[in-house]
Amino acid sequence: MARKEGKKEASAEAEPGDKVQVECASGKYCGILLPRKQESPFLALKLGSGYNIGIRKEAITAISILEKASAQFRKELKEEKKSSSPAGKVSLLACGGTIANRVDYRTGAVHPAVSAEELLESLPMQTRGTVQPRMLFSLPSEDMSPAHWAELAKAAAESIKGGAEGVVITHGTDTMHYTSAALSFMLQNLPCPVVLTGSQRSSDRGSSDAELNLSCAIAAAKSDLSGVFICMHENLSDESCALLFGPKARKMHTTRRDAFRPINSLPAARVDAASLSVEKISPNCQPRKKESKLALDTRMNTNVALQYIYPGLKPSAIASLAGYDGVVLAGMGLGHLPVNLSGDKLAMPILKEVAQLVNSGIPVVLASQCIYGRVDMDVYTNGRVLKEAGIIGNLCDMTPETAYVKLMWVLGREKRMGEVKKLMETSIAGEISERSPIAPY
Amino acid sequence: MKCGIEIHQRIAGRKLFCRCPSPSDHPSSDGSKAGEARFTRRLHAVLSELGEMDAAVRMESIRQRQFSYAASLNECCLVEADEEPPHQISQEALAAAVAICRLLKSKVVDELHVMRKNVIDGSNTSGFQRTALVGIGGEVETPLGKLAIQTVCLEEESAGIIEGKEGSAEYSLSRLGVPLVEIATEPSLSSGKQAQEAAFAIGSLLRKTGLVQRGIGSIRQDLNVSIPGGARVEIKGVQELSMIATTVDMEAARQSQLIQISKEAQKRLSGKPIEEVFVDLTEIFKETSCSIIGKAIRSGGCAMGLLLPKHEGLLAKEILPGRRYGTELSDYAKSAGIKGIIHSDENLSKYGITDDEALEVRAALSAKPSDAFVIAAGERRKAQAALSEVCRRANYPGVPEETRKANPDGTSSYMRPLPGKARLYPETDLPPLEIGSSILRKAEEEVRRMEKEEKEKAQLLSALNPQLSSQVSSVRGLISHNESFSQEFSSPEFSVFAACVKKGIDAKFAASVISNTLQALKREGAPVSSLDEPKLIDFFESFQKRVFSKSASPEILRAMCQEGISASQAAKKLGLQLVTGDELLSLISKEKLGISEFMAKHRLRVDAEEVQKAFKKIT
Repeated sequence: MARKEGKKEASAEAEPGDKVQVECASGKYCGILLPRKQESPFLALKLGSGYNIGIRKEAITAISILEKASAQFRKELKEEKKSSSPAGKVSLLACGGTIANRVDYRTGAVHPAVSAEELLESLPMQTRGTVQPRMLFSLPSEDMSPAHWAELAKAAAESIKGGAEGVVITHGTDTMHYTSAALSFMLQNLPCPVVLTGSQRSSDRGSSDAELNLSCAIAAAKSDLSGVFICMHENLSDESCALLFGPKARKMHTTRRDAFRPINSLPAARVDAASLSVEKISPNCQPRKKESKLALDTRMNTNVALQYIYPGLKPSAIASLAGYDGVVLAGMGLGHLPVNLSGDKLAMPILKEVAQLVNSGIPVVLASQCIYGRVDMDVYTNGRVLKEAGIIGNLCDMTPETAYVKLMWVLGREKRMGEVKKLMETSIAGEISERSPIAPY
Repeated sequence: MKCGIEIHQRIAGRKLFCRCPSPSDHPSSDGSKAGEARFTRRLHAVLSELGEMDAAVRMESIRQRQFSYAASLNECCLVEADEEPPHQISQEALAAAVAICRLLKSKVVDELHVMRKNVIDGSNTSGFQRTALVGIGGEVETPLGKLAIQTVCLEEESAGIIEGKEGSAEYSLSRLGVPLVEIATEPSLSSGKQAQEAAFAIGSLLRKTGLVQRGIGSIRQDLNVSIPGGARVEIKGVQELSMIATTVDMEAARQSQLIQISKEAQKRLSGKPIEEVFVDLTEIFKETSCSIIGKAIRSGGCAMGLLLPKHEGLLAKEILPGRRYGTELSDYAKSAGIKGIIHSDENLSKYGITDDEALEVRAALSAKPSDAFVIAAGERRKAQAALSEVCRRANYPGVPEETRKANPDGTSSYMRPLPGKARLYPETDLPPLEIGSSILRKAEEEVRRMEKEEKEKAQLLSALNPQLSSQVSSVRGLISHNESFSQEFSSPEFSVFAACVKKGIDAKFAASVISNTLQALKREGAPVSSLDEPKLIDFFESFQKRVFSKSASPEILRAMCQEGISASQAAKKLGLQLVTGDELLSLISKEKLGISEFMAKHRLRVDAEEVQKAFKKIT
């Protein structure tokens, strides 16, 4: 027991970064002590060869410090570089995410930590000089909430009113399409581009997509377009980025560089990585409107639910949504719900519960979990009963996420059911396409 | 001289960080084109976790090359394309590496940390090679004594280069991710011969495990060589085992020559460093007939010059057969992405440079007759980087630490600065992994299996007649390989022989059939290669069961390989079933022939010894 105490003291003295000698039953190991979570049963050591190994703490008999850590190592671990950048024409708003990730040696995983200035360090000088960075949040995007969208919209509006030629937002990719949809509604009459970008490969690897995505996003922000866009890799090659309409994009892959796809839309444009030229693809692109007066409207009713429909969904789950001010259902196929018109004994219909929500004045909007394609409640009887029940969203081609964000925004300014229905079924920010283009999906 | 070797051996089984097959594990799919995906990438230099930039990585980042990749859809998934994080490390490969550690008496680490080794020459789509330290220390027996092992690592194989150009390179991803075990010895070898013996000893130990891939490219040796006053130089990719000794000895000679040249240069310069001043010579060569420089200038590049004071004659000094000090400087320039340099210790007219041009260059650089100069042509940024590399090298006192590429003749060429620990940082996509009891148990089972096989093999070999063994071991390429061909033996023919001995079949007969009968059949044009180990063993077993006679062997084997039938089917078909016992006795009494007449008539259907005995019995 006494020996155990002594061991504890010794390891308490040695700090991460110190060069130590660890003795245990199997032999002696020399190396630099690495940061590690206290509760880990292993001690992590960087050997002279550069390799890291883990040594079971129980087996350690002694740790002696050979050399205290150099001040530099401490600084690298604790401090973040600060540098001032000259005023630029493009405003860069940093929100965190993989693009700003750094390795956390305590957990060994990556976490968002790089400052807005550091993000720009990888770019060529002439590009860097035109960008004004500002750190807004340092969050993985799964932690972002509607309140963050409002902050972000305000910051973007400030930049534009302050004379920015365009805005680039670096953001985690998981919820980037929610944010891009929200900004599309909050920033009305945009005179210039607002471009969200991020990265699917953290910048601590040589193959990171961060630099290319960021430089293409900056080029897009300077382009002759207006509106909210997502700018990410177009395919697996480091050759171009696709510029996607803010409310018509979605993350469709967990890991690929080209995870973001245009949904029920053509890409707005392509940004060539080598020339940084922006080539328009969609006829729906809006040109830059110098005279346009930006209207910031961040009012949101966040008491909205997004409910996935699936076989076996309990009717009580729908009934329990009664406390919300609005509900989006991600229905099946054309926008179907279990309604059991044939009176099957095993079916679990939810039509009654949905109708009750509508009748109590809660707008219920339908989108399709197919993601691609339009909702159509007219084709089957099963759809017609939904339409008759007063469900909103017929013939719309919004993703469930865009419909969810839009309903919050609509309910932020309108309560009357008829008006809500009209707004939800009318394209406000290009979120509903008139035509369904023949495009790959 | 101090020398250590690193053996890289591919481990059999699937890839290390995904479930894709290793290319050589399913040769049949090579022919079927399942299609491939193609994409291009650029790679950036990344700092290590301690905030350092590796010299080798810095060098490659100067070149800013574009890489294109071909990914066979059968052999690659999103992991090789760097579009999906690595899956958990292959338990199969890890157990194999731990088993190899056990054989080398290497201490297995408690917890495995997969590291990223920065490599941005495009050979890894991620920009790094994943590697993990599995074992520390150990030893291996060699004919020249025990050799200490430094480390045993498990790493992923790189992509195979299809074509490398100045500004781009093309790779195939099929090989990427195949597990490799890297065994590094202590630098305690003191001659090329010792290094060769050590490589052979480790290589055969690995093959014996049965856990490794075989065939071309499945094993590679890197050599670390230094001499007193020299430096650690790593020579990569020695293909032939037999070239190791020569390569090591040549490297020792190269270092000693470089030390001499460096001493001479120091003396001449009296310690003054060469200044990194580049002079633009483009004007002089505006209308040159030198094709290298002319081409560079016409495509928008330039010609730059560097003065090497008091270096006259040094660049022409031969350091290895066919390689001069100038070749070394040229290799450095090439690493910056240009085709090479032209220097004043060469015959300039061979490049199409006129005497007037040479004089003008000398004037532009203010070169005295005792000075040498170097010209680099190409894109301005690259030409300058190239001369900067030449200057850095020329200023280096003695021998710089380098990674070099082995040439087939035993010499080597500069590739890049020796990478250090600064290029290793943790693989953040994978948590550290405890090497737990299940892996240790699996490794233990493998070791026990190997020991058992070794023992069996030793017993078997001791039972073999050495003369017959050597007779059979010279037989090659008669019958075809089969899955059951035990990798322990040098050929499937020998494997059949060993199996016969094990089964108690007459060794002399087996050796004679394998080395004489089969050869003769092949010569007469019979399709002997349609036979394999199981078919031949069926033949010998049938013989042992007295299905046919020794003398009928050629006929039986001929029918077997021509018609694809079994030995007993062949005997039946040809009417060559052995007549024996009572049947033989009654045949003899029925025919009433003398022994020699009887044998002449029934030679193929009877056993001569038995016939003799039978005749004795009757008379």
